[in-house]
Amino acid sequence: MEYVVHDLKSDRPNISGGLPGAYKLVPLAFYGGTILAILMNVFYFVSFRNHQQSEKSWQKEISRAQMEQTNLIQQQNALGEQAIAAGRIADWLEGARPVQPISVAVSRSMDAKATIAEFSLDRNPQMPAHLVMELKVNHAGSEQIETTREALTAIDYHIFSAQQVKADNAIDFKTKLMWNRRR
Amino acid sequence: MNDHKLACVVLMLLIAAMLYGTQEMKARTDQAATAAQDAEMAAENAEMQRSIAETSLIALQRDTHELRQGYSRWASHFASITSPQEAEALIADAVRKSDILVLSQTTTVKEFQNEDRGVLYGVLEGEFDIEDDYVKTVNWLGEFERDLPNCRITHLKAIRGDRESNLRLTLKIEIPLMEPSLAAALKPAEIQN
Repeated sequence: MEYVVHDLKSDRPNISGGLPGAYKLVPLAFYGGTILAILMNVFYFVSFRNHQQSEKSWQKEISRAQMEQTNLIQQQNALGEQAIAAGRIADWLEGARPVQPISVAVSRSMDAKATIAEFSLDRNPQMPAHLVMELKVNHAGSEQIETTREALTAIDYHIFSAQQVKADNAIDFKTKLMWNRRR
Repeated sequence: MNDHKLACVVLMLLIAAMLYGTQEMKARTDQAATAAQDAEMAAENAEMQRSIAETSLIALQRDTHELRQGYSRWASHFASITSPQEAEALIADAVRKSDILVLSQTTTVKEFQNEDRGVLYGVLEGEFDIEDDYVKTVNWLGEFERDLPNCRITHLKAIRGDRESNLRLTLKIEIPLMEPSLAAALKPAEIQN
């Protein structure tokens, strides 16, 4: 029987010898490396996904901030345009204050004997808020001009560059007026 | 080379492949980390820019508040006059209403040029010669200025009239004409306060 079995076995004359000692570490390194590679790749993959998500959320933040900034700039531009228009309107209105109160104040300030021969108001084209007032009064003196000045000051007009020329029983008064709110 | 050695070589090749793959994965992760960090910095920068824009807007709102409030109060007066015909109609109304005696009246349109042109494109210049009772004339002037509050009187000359109680008034006025497109777009509700 032993002979038969032996007989069935093929001849293995070229059977190799065992591996040298150092080579035996290769399979160990392979097993260890495989486990380590799996662990590290899982770790890196999770980190990779987290970083990608983080980037995506920051990109969303950038878009939101940029959109809000654009919106704010648009509001700023609209406000700026409105402020320019408002400034133009305000400039116009500064030179469009009613003159009737001035004429009323001047005529009311006149003494019973005094008569206004001529009264004029002219706006300075360069500075419309400034008015040049010319007043010719008969039967009046410097006291009358003082009273008129007080009347103009009472309606918040600032008097500057005033000149007066006194003739016989008459007086010419010329001044610049500028409205100046005091209260 | 025998089979064992061949197997070792194959294993070593597999180890090298794993090492390479892991390194590749690490490089990609590092790249993603850098991209996320860059995005974070860009987001912080964008937020800072947004914050600066917001601060500027608040400052502008604060600085122009009074001006814009005045604008919202006055805009309707300006927006109601966009053509010389409208201005002339208002003058005619003011004269007709008070029944004042107008000796002469002329009007011309003056358009602003270049930088003066903006919200207002010009003015209707008017010249009036009026003579009537002193009180009536002075009252008319007051009513005229009240009815047309944005009208600018550039010249006024008052002398005694033909009769003792009369006043002769020479007036030069300017009525501002607002740009029609602006006036049409201007609704009080739209003016931001």
